[in-house]
Amino acid sequence: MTSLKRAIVDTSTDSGLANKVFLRSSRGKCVKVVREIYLRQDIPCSSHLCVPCTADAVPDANGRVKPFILSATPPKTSAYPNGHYLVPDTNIFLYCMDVMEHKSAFHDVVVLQTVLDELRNRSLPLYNRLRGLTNSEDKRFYVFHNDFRKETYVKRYPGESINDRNDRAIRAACRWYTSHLQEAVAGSKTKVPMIVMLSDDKANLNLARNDGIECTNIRDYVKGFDNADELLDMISASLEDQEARAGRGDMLYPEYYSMSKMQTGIRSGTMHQGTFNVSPYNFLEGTIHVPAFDRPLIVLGRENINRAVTGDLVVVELLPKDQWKQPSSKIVEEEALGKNDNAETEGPEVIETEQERRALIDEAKRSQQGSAEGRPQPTAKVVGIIKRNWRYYVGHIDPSSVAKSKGRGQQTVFLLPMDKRIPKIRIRTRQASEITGKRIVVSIDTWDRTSRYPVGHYVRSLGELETKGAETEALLLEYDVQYRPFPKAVLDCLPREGHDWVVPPMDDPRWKGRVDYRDKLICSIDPPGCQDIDDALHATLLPNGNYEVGVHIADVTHFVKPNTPMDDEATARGTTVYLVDKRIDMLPMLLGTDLCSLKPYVERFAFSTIWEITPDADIISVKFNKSAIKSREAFSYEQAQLRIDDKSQQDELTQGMRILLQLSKKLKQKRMDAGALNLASPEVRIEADSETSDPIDVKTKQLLETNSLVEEFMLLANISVATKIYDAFPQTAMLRRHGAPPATNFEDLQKQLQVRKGLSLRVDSSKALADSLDECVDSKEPFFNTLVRILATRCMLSAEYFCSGTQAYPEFRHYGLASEIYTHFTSPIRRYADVVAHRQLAAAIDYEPLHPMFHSKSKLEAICKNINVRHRNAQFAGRASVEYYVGQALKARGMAQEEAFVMKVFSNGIVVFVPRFGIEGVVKVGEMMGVQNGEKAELDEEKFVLSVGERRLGLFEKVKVEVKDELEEASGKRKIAIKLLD
Amino acid sequence: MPLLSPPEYSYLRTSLLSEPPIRPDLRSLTAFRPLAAELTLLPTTHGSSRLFLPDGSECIVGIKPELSAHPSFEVSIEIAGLRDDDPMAVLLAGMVADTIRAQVHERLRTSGNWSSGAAEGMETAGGAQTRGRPWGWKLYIDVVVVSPPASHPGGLVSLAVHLALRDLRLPKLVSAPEEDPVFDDDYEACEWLFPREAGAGGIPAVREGGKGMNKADTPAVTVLVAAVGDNVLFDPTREEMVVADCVAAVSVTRDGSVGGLRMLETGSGGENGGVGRKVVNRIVKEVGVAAGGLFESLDQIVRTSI
Repeated sequence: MTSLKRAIVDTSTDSGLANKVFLRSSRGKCVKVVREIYLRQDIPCSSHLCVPCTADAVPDANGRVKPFILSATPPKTSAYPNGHYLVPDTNIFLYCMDVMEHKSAFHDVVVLQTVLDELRNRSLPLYNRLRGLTNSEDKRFYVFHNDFRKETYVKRYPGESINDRNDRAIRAACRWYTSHLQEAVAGSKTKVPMIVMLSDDKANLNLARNDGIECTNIRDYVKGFDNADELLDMISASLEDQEARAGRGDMLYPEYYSMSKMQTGIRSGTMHQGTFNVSPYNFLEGTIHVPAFDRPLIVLGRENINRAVTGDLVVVELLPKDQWKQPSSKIVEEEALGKNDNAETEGPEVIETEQERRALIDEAKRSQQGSAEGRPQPTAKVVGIIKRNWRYYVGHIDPSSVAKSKGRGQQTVFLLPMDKRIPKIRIRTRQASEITGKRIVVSIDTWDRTSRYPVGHYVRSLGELETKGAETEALLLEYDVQYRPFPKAVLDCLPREGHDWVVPPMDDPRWKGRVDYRDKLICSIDPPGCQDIDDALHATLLPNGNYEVGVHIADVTHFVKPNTPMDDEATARGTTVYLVDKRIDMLPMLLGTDLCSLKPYVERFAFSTIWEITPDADIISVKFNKSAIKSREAFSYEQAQLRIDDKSQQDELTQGMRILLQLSKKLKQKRMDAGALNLASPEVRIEADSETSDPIDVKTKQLLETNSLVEEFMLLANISVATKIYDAFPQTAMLRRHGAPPATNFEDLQKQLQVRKGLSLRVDSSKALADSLDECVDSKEPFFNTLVRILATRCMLSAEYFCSGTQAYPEFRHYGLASEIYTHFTSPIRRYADVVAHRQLAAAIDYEPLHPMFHSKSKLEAICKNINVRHRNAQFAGRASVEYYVGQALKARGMAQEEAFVMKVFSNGIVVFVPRFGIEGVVKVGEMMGVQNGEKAELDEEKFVLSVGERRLGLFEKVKVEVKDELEEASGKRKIAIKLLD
Repeated sequence: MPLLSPPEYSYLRTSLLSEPPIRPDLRSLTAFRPLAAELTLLPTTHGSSRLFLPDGSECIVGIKPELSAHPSFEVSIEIAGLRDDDPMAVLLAGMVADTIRAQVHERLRTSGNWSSGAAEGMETAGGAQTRGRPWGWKLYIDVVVVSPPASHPGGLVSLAVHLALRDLRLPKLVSAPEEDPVFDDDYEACEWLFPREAGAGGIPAVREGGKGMNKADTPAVTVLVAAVGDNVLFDPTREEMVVADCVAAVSVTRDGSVGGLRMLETGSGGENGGVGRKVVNRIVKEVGVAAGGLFESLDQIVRTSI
C-alpha cells in the first residue's frame, strides 16, 4: 500500500507559512483550533532611525503608510547613554500599568504582539488601557507584530509551556530589533539605541542575559529617574517578592476552590454564585443574592467573607444550620474596631482581632435569644471568586499608621477608603509624609491568604483633603463618572457654525419632513437657572371645545448622528451628572446649553408631540413631528406659578398655561386612581453664596403646582412615545420598566408599622400600596407620612431601561407610575436613553431610517446595561455631593439643633433621619447625651425599642439632635456627627 | 439488469475454481486491491484518514472527541447517493462498531482520568455519587463514503476507521477526577489513543510474533472474503462477489484471532445453495493467517504518516 501524504516541509523557515494548533473547550466539547500563519518580512520596526523599513513599509488599503512611531532620539538615561527602546513583558503591563501611563517616563516602548495577546487574555480592562497608550502620540508605544514577522516568529517546542514560549518570543524579538537596527544604521555615525527588555521574571532575565540581551527589572529601571519615589509607589505590590511571600507559611484565610470545582458545585447546586455586597452599617456582614433563594444569604465575619470585596462576583457555600444567624442588629465600623492595627506587620496576623470576635459573639448570643420570633437565616462562606471587580479607590492615609520617624524611607501605611464597605488597604510608600492629609487614589493589587488586609499601590493624589476640587474629583472617581474634557474627535462633530447656528430658511434640505410650529405660543418651565432646556409646552383651545396640547423636546438627534465619536462618547457617559456646584455634561456645552436647548426668543429645532385632549383629559389623538419652534418665554417654576395665579394676566400665553395646569391636575388624578405611587425621597437645595459659591444654607425643596404640571405632560409624552416605538419596533424598542417589588421586601417595614403604630401596609398591588401609604399618617406628626414613604421607596426595586425584545409584555409595566409601558423621551440633552428613543421615533414616523446599530438586540442590551449603571452612579454622586455640601454649610454655621426621626434601631445605636438637611446618620449608644459609658443598652427586637438606662428610643419616634460637622481625631476625616439631645 | 451475462458468469467462476485459481486482475487469493491512504488530512478533527481504491471508491473518516461521564463511541456512516437511514449504511455502522468495540472501549477506559482509581471508587460508591465523577471521552466517528461504491464498501470503511483511530489524539486532562473536566490547551500534549510504538500502551504486552504490539494495541479490522468452491479470495471485486458461493465480513485482531463473522451473501453461486461448515472453517483459518501481513501493512501506513 502506498501513501499519498504530502511531504512535510519545514514551514517555519521557508515558505512563510506556519501552523498553530491548540485546543479550546466549550461546555465539555473540545474544539481543535488550527491557524495558518502567513509570515511576512515587511512588518516595519517603526523606528525613525531605520531607513530600509521606511522604504519598504507597506501601505494599507487606503494607500497610506502608517507613520513611524519610535523616536530617532529616544530618551537617554545614565545606564543607557545612547538612548533606549523598551520591550516589556506581559507581567510588566499586568502589574505596572499605572506607572507605564505616567507622563514623565516610559517613552519609546515596543509592545510585542505576543505580549498584547497575552494581556488581552488575562485582563481586558488593562488591554484597553494599553491600547489607549498605543493610540496616544506623545507616549510613542508601538505594537510590533512579532508573531507575523518571519524572523521573530518562534515555534513552540514540544513540551514547552506556553509561557516559556512567549518569553522566548520576547527574547527573539529583542535580539532581532538589536541586530536589525545595527544593520539599518551601519555605516552612518548614528549610535544605535539600546533595546532593553523589561521583565520581572528572574528566569527570563537570566536567559536574556545569557543571550546577551540587555535587560533589567522594573524597579532597577525606575530607580534612575528623578521622581523615582513616586514611580516606585505606583508599581503594584503584587509584583513584589512573590516567592518570599509564598514561603511564609501562615495562612490566615482559607484557600479558594479551583475554578472547575466551583463550576461543578454551581452546576450541582451545592454552591451558589452571586455579587457580594457589604452592609453599609456593618463591614463584617455581607449579603449575596443568589437565584436559588428568595432572600439574600448572609456572610458574617472576616473568615467567611474570605477576602471578597464588595462588588466581586463570588461563589459561596452554605454553612451548617447551627451556624445560621439573624442579620446583625449592631453597627460595626472598621475604623472603630481595627484602630490599633499595625500596617507594618511582618509576623503572622489573626484575621479577627479580639474585639471583632467579641462583637461577633455578642451578636450570636443575641440572635439566639431572638430566635423564637425572628428565625435565623442561612449564612454562607465565600469559597472562591469568579471575577474581581476591583476599581480605583479614593481615600486618605490613616495618619496613625504613618511612622513619623521613618522620614523618606519606604513604609507601609493604611489607606482608609471613602466607601465604608471597602476594607482598609495596605500600601507601601516612600512619600508617606507628602501624601498624608491628601485625597489619594489607589488600586488594590492582591489579597493574599497571609494578609489580613488587601495590598495595593498609590496611583495619584487629588489634592488636599477637604478642598473642593479634590473632594469633587474624588466623588466623581468613586462613582465612575467620566469627567475628562471632551476629546477633539468629539468636538469635531459639532456644527461648524458654532454659536451662530440658526434654523435655516425653509428651502434648506434640513427642513425636509419638518413642520413649522414657530407660530405656536410655546414656553418652557424649568428650575431656576436652568441652561439645558430639554422641553417646552403649549396649549390652545380648539374650535370643537377640545384642547391642543404640545410637548416640544430638544431635537438632539439632529446634531448627534449615530456612530460618530460624539455619539460614542454620549453612549459611554450615558447621562449628565448634576453635582451641587458642577454639571458633568453628556453632550458638549455648545449643544447642551445652546443649539439644542429650547431657549426663549430664538428658533430651535424640536421633536414635537401634539395631542388633542378633551376637557376631561381624555386623549383623542396624538401625532409626532420633527419641527421648528420659537419659545416665547422661559419660566422658572416659581415665575410660572406667579403668572398663572396673577388674575390680571390674560394674554394667550398665560391662558395656555392655565389650560395646561387644569389638564395636568386631571391627568394626575387619573394616574393616582390607576395606582401610581407618590414616593418621597429627601431632597434639599443648597443655597450658595453668590460670589464664592460657598454653601451658606440648606433648604428643603419646595414643590409647586407647576412642578407637577411639567411632570404630568412629560409622563404623558413618554408613555405616548413608548407605545409608538414599541409598535414600530416590537423587538428593539428602548423602554423603561419598574418591576413590582416582591412582597418579602416589605416584610420588615410592615412588621415595624404594625408594632409601632398599629398601621397595616398592603402591598399586593401598587394601588393598594398607594392607598395604604396615604393612610399612614400620624395626626401629631405630619412628617411621619413622608418618612414611611422614604422607607417604602427603599423596599422597591429600581427602575431600569431595557430593550423590548428581552421581556414579555406584562413585564414592561412601570410599577411606580402604574403605566403599562414607559420610556424616556423628554430629556435627550442629559440622558442617552432619550436619544435612542428619539431615533427610534424618528424612524417610526418615517422621518429618517434607523441606523442598523439600533436594530440589534444585543447592541441595545449593552447600551441599556451601561446607562442603567451610569444612571444609578449619577444619582449616588449627586446625593454624595449634596451631603458634602450640607457638611460644608454646617461647618459655616457651627452646629444646628434639629428634629430627627428614628429610622432604624440597632442594639448599640440608632439611625436617624434629619428632614431639615435630608441626611441620615448613625447615633451610637456611647454618643448619646446623658449616657454614661458602660451603661447597658438593651434592644427589644419585638417592639423595636432601644432602652439605654432610663431612656427608651422607639422606631419612628421624633428626637432632638445636634448636627455638626466634626473632624475625627483618629482618622483626620471630616464627617457629619449627629448627637442625641435631652 | 444482471451484472454478468451467463457466459461471463460461467467463465469467471470457472477461472476462480481452477487450480491454481485465476482472478481477473491476476491478484493472488490473499492480496488486496492496491489501496492508497492518507492520514491527518482534516485539520480540525482529532484523527482522520482517507482511503481509496483504484476503482474510485473513496472513504473519509474523521473523529472528534467530547468529554463525557461515560466513555463510549458512536459511528455514523454516510454513503453518497444513499439516504442516511438506508439499511446499507445502518448495517455498515453496526458492523464497524462491533468490530472495534472491544479494543476502543479498553483504550477509552484507560484514557481520560478514568484510570486514576476514581473509576473503581465510583463503582464501589454505587449510585450515591452526587458530586463529581471521573471523566472520559466519548468519540464521534464520522465516515463518508464519497463516491457511490463500485463494490461493497465494508472492507474499505473498516480499514479507514482503523487508520483514523490510530491517528486519533486526545487532549490531556489536567483536572482531578471529582472536578469538572479541564484539559491542557497545548495540542502537543495530546495523547494517542492507540500507542504509536510497540509497548507504549502501558499494557503488559503479550508480544506477537516479533511485531511488538499486542492485540489490544490496535483496533480490529473487518475484511471481506468470498468463497468459491474451496478457494477463499480476499477483498473480492463486485464481479467476484456475484459468482462466489458466499461473501463474509470477518473481523480479525492483530494476533489473527477472528472476533466475528457475518455472511453478507450466500448461495447465489453455489450449485446446491448454502455454505458448508468446512468453508466457514477455511475462511476463519485463512483470515487468521493473513492478518499478520495485513496489520503489518497498516503499521507501515501509520509509520510513514508521522
